[in-house]
Amino acid sequence: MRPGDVEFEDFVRARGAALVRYGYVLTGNPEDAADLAQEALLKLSDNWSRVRNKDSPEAYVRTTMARQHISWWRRRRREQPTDDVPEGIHHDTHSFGELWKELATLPRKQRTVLVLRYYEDLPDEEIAAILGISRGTVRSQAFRALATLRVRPAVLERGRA
Amino acid sequence: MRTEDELSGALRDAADRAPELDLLVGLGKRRRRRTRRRAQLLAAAAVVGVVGTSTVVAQGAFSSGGGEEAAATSTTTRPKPEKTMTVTPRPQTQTKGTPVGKLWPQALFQMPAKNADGWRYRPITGINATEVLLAAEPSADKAGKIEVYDAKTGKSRVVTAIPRTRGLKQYFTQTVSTDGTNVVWCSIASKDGTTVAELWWAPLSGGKAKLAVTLTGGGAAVEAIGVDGESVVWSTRKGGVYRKPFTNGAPNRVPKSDGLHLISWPWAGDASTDDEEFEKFGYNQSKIVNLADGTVTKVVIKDGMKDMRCGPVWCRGRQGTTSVVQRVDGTGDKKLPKGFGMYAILDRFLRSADTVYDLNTGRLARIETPGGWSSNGISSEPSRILYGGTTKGKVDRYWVLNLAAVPPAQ
Repeated sequence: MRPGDVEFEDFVRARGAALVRYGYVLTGNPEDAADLAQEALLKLSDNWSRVRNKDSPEAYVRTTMARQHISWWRRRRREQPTDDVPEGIHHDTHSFGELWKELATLPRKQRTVLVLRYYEDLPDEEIAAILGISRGTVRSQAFRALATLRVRPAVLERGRA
Repeated sequence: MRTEDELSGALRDAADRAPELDLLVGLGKRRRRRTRRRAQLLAAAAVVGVVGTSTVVAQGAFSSGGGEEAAATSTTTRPKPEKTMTVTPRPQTQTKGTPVGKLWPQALFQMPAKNADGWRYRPITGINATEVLLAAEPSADKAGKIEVYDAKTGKSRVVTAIPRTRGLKQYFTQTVSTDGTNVVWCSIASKDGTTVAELWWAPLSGGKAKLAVTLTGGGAAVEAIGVDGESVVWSTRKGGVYRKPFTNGAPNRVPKSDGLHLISWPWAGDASTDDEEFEKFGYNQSKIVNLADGTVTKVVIKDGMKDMRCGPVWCRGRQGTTSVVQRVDGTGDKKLPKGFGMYAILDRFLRSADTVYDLNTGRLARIETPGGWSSNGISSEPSRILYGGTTKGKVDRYWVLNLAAVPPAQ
């Protein structure tokens, strides 16, 4: 086993739960959350030595998850066998409130923008950089999503916290 | 109309109810499947005469359970289709060993999974036989407080709040260490696209956290941290151990620490965590150094031994696909199944996914995971804590195995 592999595994052990939580608010269900996190971690492990020398592995994997969520990963998931539910998955039948349920009705891009803004607490400028879209698009996506959810925005654009 | 705060709250509440999963379990499977798919794509591409993408397969050859095989293929530049396309199902091994609650009852206990603020606890390590060092995280995965839980009294106390420096983005507290009197931690963040590492200190008895040093450039590649009573100590991926007094003074390099990597203060070794150095200097740790008194002990490495990692007494390496443990002087060698971690916890215990092996007694403890998962603490040195949820799904309580509570002779 290479030392990088050990480091990578340590990273997954230490931060895996946090990444599943992030995947869960992005996707809304445990299977997709694990799927998204694992796909992003595979990419991280391919680039491990480069990433851990230059960036924060956690920031890298979170950015990958946000991007993958609104692009190709869902298509990819369909190619995979259905028995691939990670061990330990458990269906929670609790209701998390109306707002959480309504989030599921949003298009993926809108939901991702809201998660980055209200869960990750990122300013619009950073959200734009992460998703590779303009600040104006971040604003309009958030505006539409908030309107759907009947949430009153405090300010039109969120600057640095 | 609803408020933005309600939206934040709904997201965080939901995150708290996310399932706890062992991502490593599925990762190996997923990688093997991807490697196979790529090999098939590659084979198809080869038929129509497209060449030059062969490194993709080698690059993808990592698996959580079979790291040894992965190491063998990752250095080749051409794929070996007969290898990468064969998928052997993970063998269903019957877990052996004595239930941990029977073997070390005094080391196993339960504790709340959340602090007084409702923040999720993330265990760091065992301070002594009864106390556990914890990070408490407000929902968005950021460490907010350092706390201590005492298994004897069943109570926890706040050590300090973890400050967040203004102007730094993507701020994550990565690793923590304690000597029983002080606690230090390393936070990694980004500033204008470059990495910044901050090393912080607080007295374990409680008090305000103080920033000991801010590191940038190559110096920010902190791989391990420790504490020597009056200084925070760390090593970087390029090798070399540094220290900086908690409150004043300048950072300095620890004498005779060139090329060394901190394992657990005062112990350091020459096994690199840097891939380039690793390729250059090979797989084995050749010495174990006590940086406090300068003692250097050579490791006796037998023929065919690879990946040797040693503490002051015990080493773990491998011969082929068999894990081997031995003392630094080469005595007491014994074969173990693969899957055990590298550096021994407390220079005594090796952990696998569901067992803990005691090098001193040769006993194997079996870990029960009622919540379907287990994890280890996040300390820089091999953590003395293993923990998991006591129930499936929503986690209110943790079971905790504190290896610092296992008596010497047991």
